[in-house]
Amino acid sequence: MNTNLIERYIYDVTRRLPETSRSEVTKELQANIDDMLSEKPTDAEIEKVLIELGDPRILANEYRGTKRYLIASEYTDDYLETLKFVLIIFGSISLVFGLLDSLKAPEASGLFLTILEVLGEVLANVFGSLCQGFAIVTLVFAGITAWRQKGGKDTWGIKCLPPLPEKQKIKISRADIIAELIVTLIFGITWIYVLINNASIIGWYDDVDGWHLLAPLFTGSVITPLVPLFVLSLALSLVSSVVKLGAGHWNFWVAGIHTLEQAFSIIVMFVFIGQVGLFNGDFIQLAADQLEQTPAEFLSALTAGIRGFFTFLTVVIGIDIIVGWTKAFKGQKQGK
Amino acid sequence: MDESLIQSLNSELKRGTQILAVLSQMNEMKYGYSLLQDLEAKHVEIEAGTLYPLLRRLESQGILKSEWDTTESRPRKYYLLNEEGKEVFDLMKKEWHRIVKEMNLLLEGEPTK
Repeated sequence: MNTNLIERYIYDVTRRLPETSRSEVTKELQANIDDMLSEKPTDAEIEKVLIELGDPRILANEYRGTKRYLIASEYTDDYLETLKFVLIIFGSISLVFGLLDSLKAPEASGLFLTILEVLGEVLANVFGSLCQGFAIVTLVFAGITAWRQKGGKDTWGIKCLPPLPEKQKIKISRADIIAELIVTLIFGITWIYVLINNASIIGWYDDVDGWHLLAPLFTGSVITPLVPLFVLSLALSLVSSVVKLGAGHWNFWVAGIHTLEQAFSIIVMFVFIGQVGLFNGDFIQLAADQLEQTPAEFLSALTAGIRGFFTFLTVVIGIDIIVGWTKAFKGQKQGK
Repeated sequence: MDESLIQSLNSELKRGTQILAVLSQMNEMKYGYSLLQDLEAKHVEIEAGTLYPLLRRLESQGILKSEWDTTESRPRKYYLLNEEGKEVFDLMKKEWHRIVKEMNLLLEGEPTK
């Protein structure tokens, strides 16, 4: 007879039990199983009995008497809601700061590699802080659960009732969206037009014998490959506006597409200003002469100014994204 | 009709009666498997995996007492109602009759005698 099977079964049950009850349960379970078998049981008979006793995990739970939870079931809703909230906050913050950090000084050269580097760093950053958020929330709730199982009580009283939410959903003003849409379209299309025709529009002009261009602002060969990125960014903005108009109030879809659109636009801007040789050398020379500086001084001042501005803009957009998610959360709660 | 739903509702209904069913058989010494057979003979179905841990829990709650019999070739753990267990069983029996009366009133519209 295959006693090994029975021993393994009993071991699988008792290893899940507190040490103090292990030997007693082993003896008892052995006796019970023996009783259920004939004098000389076949392997098939043993298997049948063990299957009748069922999953060792469940049997061990029965022996333990009390069920054990990492998160008590009555806290599961609170846990999930807090988790969502914390993950979004942690994710947004690390997204913004990760972007700032990695865009300040990309090591890779070339557009494609820069995008890869930035994406990689930002994703790693976001993933890391999502894990942290998950761990913190889970630990706190596991702590509460453990405390409750040890007999701790937080007695419920009338005072614990939450106030009723405001009835209104957080509406998105259509007028605002349409205005935003028009401004985005005008600026977006103008900007893309300018980029495509850089050499003949913005630059250093001379009014001797009528206006004529001395030096364009940007280096054409550097900015031309970036045009599709701006077109994509503009398209995303349009999609986002349409989604907002369609939904009429903040929800997770709206907040998601809003985040995507804003994050993408800021990435594109940083990729743009991060290009080596973005500004035309002749233009820099002319401007530096005018200000009585060396071209290198002028260029570094200009770059620092632009980076400062976009860093500020990133923080603003980060806050805007968080506000969007907050509205979506409030909207969802009231929808319940 | 959803068979599995009926099954799970019915088993939930039965679960509450398991302890009373077990206690009713414990006026004499019994070991796990013999109790299982006694209950089965009276058409009360309870799974071995539920019954064995239940006996142990009732013992730790101070309702059953136990004793190992090692004189036979197979050692067996016998259980028996102790004094407190007998009181608990009487009280539970009374509660059961009350519940039956109330339920019949709800289900049939008149009390049973």
